[in-house]
Amino acid sequence: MQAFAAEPALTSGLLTPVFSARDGYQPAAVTPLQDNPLLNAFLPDRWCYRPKRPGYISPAGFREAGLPDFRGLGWEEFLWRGAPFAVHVRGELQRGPAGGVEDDAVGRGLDAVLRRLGQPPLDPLGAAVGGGSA
Amino acid sequence: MHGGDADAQAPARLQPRPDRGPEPRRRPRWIVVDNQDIHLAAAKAAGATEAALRAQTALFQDEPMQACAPGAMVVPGPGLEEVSDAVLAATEASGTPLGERRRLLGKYLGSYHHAAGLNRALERVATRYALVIDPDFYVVRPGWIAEVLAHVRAEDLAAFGAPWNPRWYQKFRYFPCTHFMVLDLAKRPWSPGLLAPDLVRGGRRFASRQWTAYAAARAASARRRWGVCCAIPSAPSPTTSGKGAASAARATPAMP
Repeated sequence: MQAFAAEPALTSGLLTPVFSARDGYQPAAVTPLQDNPLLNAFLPDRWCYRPKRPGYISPAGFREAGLPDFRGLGWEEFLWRGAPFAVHVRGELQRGPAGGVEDDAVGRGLDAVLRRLGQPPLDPLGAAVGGGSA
Repeated sequence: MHGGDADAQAPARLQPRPDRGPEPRRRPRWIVVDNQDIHLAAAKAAGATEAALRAQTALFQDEPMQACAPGAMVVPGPGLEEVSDAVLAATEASGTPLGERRRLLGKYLGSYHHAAGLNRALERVATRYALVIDPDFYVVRPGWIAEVLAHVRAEDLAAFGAPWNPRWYQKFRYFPCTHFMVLDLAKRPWSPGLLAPDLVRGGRRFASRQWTAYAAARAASARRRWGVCCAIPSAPSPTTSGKGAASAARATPAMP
């Protein structure tokens, strides 16, 4: 995968991950000093824990857009073109508690998003799968 | 995994369409990889009861999976041993001792198993564009497949997707990862190792031991406080803090 990412001829596009200090790093082994913006201003990107490319990270996520705060559950939010795009549920057994997974929380959160979008709530059997929308 | 029309009986049809014109609109077809092996192994490792394991096994029966993804092609995922053997064979020339490779593989087998499962799906994709998406990655934008594909075409991208969240600072950055990724297989044809991770190799990934210990101690302290708060209505017991400490110990990432 890293070799694929390093292929120079490939052009790629990215969603914008939502991240700020409250999300915390994994593993939790980064000191506030190491994440200090003043210090990082003088360091090259490869030495910084937080990526430096302008616009790569958004500190504002779903909560700021009036949607449920999925980051509060330890999950990850992604934006595209400045608007909420996706949520990645975290909480794998093997990696420690990066986030909590609870089926009801997933359903409640996604239904709140759908309500905001004027869409019907989730079908528990995922009838939307296979269509052109999520 | 969304690969447009796919045909399980014709794995030779792997070559993507060479032209770059727009494909005719058609209903996308999903390919679902049944990776139950890793989930059941993880549940066993976490000490799940027999009943819990039976319940989890039931989740993976063909019928419910088909019901959750109507019209999808369900592909059996690879076995854990099969993946383990393949990774050890592929890394034999790396110079890293076998014992170290086994240790690393024990830690990252899930990632390799995931990639091997994706390979099984990607080798069945017969369209130019393939969309890889994890089952716990929820896109909340209406009409996103058409919009994303139009963007990939307009920008002439080989790959588009979600990068690793910056909290995972040991991962690569500035490139999509397999949680959510659209691939233009005309620009980068599929090959078996395309999405495989590169984690079984020599060298350590940096993480400060001191700060890790400090963060774990803080988490344990917070859990103890929470445990006492919960116990106040009845009676604080020595086991409350003991449980908190045990949770924190489990939570502490195993550093190389």
